[in-house]
Amino acid sequence: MVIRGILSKEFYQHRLLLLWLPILITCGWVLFLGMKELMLLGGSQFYNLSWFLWFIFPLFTLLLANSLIADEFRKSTQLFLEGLPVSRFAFLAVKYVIGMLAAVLTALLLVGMTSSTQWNSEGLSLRFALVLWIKTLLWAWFCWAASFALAFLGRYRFIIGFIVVFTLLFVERELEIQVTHFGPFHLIDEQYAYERYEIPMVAIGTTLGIILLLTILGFVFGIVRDATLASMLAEKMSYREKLTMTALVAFVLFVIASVIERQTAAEPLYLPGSVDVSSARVAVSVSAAVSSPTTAEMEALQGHADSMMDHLDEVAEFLNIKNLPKVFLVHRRDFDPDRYELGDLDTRQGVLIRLNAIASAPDGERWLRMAIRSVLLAHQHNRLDSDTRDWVVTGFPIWWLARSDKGRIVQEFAVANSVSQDDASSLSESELVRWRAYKKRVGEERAQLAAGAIMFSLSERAKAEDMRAFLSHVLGYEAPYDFRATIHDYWYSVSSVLRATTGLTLADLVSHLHGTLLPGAVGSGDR
Amino acid sequence: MMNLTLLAKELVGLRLSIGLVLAIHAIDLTYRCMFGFLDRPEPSGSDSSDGSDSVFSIVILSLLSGVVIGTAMIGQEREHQTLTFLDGLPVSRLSIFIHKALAALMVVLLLEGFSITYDWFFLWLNQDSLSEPIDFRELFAGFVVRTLLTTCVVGGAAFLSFSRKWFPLLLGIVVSLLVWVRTRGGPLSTWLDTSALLLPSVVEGQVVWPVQQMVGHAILGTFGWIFAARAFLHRDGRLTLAIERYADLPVAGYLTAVGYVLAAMVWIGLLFSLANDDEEEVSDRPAVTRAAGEVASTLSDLEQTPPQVDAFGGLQTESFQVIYRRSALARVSTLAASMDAIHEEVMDYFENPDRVSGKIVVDTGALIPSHAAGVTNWTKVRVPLNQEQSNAEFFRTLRHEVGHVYIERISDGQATTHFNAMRVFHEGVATAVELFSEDEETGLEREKVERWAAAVDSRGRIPFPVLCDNETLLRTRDDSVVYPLGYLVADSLVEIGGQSLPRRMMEKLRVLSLPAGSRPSQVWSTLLQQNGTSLEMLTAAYESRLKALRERESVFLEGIPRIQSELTIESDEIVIRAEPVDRADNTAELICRVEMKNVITNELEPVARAADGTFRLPRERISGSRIRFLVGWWTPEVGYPVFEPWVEEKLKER
Repeated sequence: MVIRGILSKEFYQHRLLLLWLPILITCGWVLFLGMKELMLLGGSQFYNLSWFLWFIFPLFTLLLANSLIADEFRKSTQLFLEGLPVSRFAFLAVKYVIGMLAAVLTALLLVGMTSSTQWNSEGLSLRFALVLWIKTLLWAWFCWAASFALAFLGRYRFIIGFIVVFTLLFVERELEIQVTHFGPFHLIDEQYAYERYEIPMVAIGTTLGIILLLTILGFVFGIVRDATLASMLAEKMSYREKLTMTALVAFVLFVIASVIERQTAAEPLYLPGSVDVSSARVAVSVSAAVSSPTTAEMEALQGHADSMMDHLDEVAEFLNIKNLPKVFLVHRRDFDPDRYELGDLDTRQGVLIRLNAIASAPDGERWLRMAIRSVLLAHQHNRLDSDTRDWVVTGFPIWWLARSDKGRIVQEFAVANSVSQDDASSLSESELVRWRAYKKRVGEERAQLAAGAIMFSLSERAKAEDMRAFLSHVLGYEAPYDFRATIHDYWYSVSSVLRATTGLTLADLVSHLHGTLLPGAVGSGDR
Repeated sequence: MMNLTLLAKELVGLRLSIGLVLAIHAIDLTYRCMFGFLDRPEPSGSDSSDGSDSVFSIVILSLLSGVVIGTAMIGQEREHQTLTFLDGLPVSRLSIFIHKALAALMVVLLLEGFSITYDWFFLWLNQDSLSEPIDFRELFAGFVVRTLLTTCVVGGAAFLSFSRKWFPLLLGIVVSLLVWVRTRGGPLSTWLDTSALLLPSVVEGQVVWPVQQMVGHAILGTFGWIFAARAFLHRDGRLTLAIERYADLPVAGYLTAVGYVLAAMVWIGLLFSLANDDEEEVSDRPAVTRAAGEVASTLSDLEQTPPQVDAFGGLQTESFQVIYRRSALARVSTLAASMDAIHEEVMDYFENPDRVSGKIVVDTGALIPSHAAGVTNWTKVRVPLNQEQSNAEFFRTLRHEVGHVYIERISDGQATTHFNAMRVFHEGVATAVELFSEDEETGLEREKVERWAAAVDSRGRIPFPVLCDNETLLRTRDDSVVYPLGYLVADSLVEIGGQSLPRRMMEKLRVLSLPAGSRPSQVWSTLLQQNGTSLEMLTAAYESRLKALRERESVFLEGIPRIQSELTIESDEIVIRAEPVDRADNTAELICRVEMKNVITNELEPVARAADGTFRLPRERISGSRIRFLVGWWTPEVGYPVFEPWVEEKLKER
């Protein structure tokens, strides 16, 4: 009897909402039917309906829950209900059932209307209709259960709702859990309008479980500590609180998201049929981009792997690098001997270089220059490819590979300059900090020779251990994958490191190059 | 008379709005700090965006800060009931409003100044010796127009904030109206073209001020401010009281609820109409051979001619449920007799995957975008019948679309989830399925597609990492290249891993559940790795296949023109002169498409060739100071348009 009274009270109190909102929702749905772009994309009114259920329907249940639950607690009118001879659970259950029925019946009304108008043009069968009805019913129930639980959170319901939605979006995008293929979301995903046969039993089971959980949660919020929690939370939020909470929540979420994303390691790469060699500092994986490599190719691959590991190991030891990025060499039959190509890898995965392993010698100087430079670049996530540091990372492999043959590179640089009739030879101090512009002016080849020549200039002017300290500082830095690397590079500029480790300036290197190593070359005036 | 105490009080009242905008920048800074290097946006080599993101963020930030300041200006007083207190002071309501407006303007100046400084800081940090020097005039011009825009938004928001809980709905309606005016065209759309305000350019040392748009927005904003003042002053705040009385009505709550629902619908509709969601258009097959002039590619002008009103019928074969218009019954009956054989061919291509449970629905009477011959959504295929289409063409389209159905089914929809990475797979494998038949006509079509691939490649090699990243690809080349090049990728997959590799890849995609934000080449690498092969093997096979095709088609490729274009502005018309530079092929018809930049999306519009051989369009159609377009050619030997890479130029005059 009392329950009937409560039922009458709820219907009377919310009569406008319960009557007008479904009508309004239905009108909204009719408007949605007219969205030509959606219809063109989906080719089915059920596709439009799935969009409507995704975006508009949850608003309907939120409003329903707001009116049935949140408003009651905000205005403290639930106190009158508590004076009645029924348990708190009973009157919450009445509200729950009324809301659920309103949500489910409205949703089914929408499907029913769509089905009746599209029976022939959609080729609707009874089974397809059943699949649609089951999915829609459960989605509507889920929306209601979620709104019901949220409504007890009073003024924090929107913030918590926002956090939940953001978290789901983040999980979908960044983690290996696909929310859109899970439980209730799977019910109205892109297959909603088209799957005519299969009833998604797993999704249905999951959805029912989630509905049960949310319902229990809602009742717990509503009953715990004589419903004082719900009443307390129901107080209205001030403007200031709204702004502060929004900013705070957004900030915290972004920080958390960023931290999690940073910790998501790049997927390791494996090449099938590869020859892998490794040492404490270096790992090299060599493979052929063909299904069945010949014996000669396998031998060439092994030779490349061993040679690359030996060279990189020496480099790493010299530069005090604990771990170089993994190196992947891929043999390509169709490549010319002098063609080397970098693959598209995240620097955290390593470096991938394509080459013709048969045609190119493992100890070829040009090849090794390119490979060592690429590995050093990847080691600092390409940060060395900058105006101020590029000459170091370009010059180092040239000097390193030709260090026993002192003077050859300088000679080549001198010859290259003398052949050219322009003023490109006038490498100046300022160009060592504007290397990209210099490279563009004189061309890649001559810029490489210039970098090598400067490195020889350094080796002549500085003591061996000082030079090593300088190179180790610039090239051996373990750059973290974030803003700290930027700050480090601004703090420790190449010229300051050079001065600190060798006592030299960039001008000293250039003048030594022009004055001693290239006596016949064009002057060294600053441009 | 300026009352500094009152001004200070208003500024303090807006401090939370300032805090919110600063917090947005702080979040952005934190994000940049945590994600990578401050001086290099993309350290690991992936392509940076084309700048549309920054334009989008400027719009959002201006709109957001304008709305926050505008609503806080008066709304806070109302909420805290402090207006009554202010009314008791010996200052007029007009004076209070003027101080509020001044405070809002000062906050706007402060925030825009901060935003510009923030932008300058990152520009400075990213400078190198090859960068153009920072143009402070451009920054200043940006500051001026953004300040103007935000001030206008503040005025409008202040006025609309009187509607209290109906504010989201009214704001949505106003923004929708502005978008509608913009899309409708005409002189008013030029006056209210907000995108022209976003990035003012500097040409030959002079700032090109978008005067017309500045005046248009200023007029609109002035109206907003006048209405806001009027509402605030009206009979000493009676409007506010009236609205408060309305809030006490018993139906107010329901009406507010109605307002929220309507607001949500308006905003969703608005976003949808802006976005047009071209990403969803997963599985379409390009319309078969068509003359260049007919090529269209925007959703707005796409649909096939609306079919006549007709009753629908349905018939079933073993594998298909066919929906047709009654008037097409005779033809559909003939076609349906051979459909099951088509299904078997598709099953053969995938080496007998699990059959689609139930039947595949083939809707021959539905609407589809006009640049497509068919569209697939999950297990529903739309292949409209038309008179010009031969039965063989219909079956090829059907094979293509059923190929899509199986890709989706085998991957359990994951191929669509990873649309950006898998588009080339989707279209390539579906094209391979379409051409997976030994009959003579299909053989000829195969030859055409291969020639198309060679022609596309001759206009610039597309590296595989770009090909498998749809977003980057679309910035580089026209979107139809995924069909011929994707076909070669599908062929190469079969070459390196056998006929079953496409199916096995999709099976792995289904079980691996890769994050939706994975890098495209990473997705491919993982899928191939999991199937005992590698991306490197695929790249090698694909490139050698392309090389062989280029050699095979060398005679044809030598005969087709390479097109050079020149852009000028002649009496308010943009004129694109496209000329073959090295050779002239009489059969090649020149074509041109221009990108119509929206705030959110970029649409392609075909431009008709004028009698003098140029391509012309009114200057007012392109907002901003840059234009992007494609020029290309169409010949019967290829049957599909082939474009040169994108051309982007500055519009030098207005």
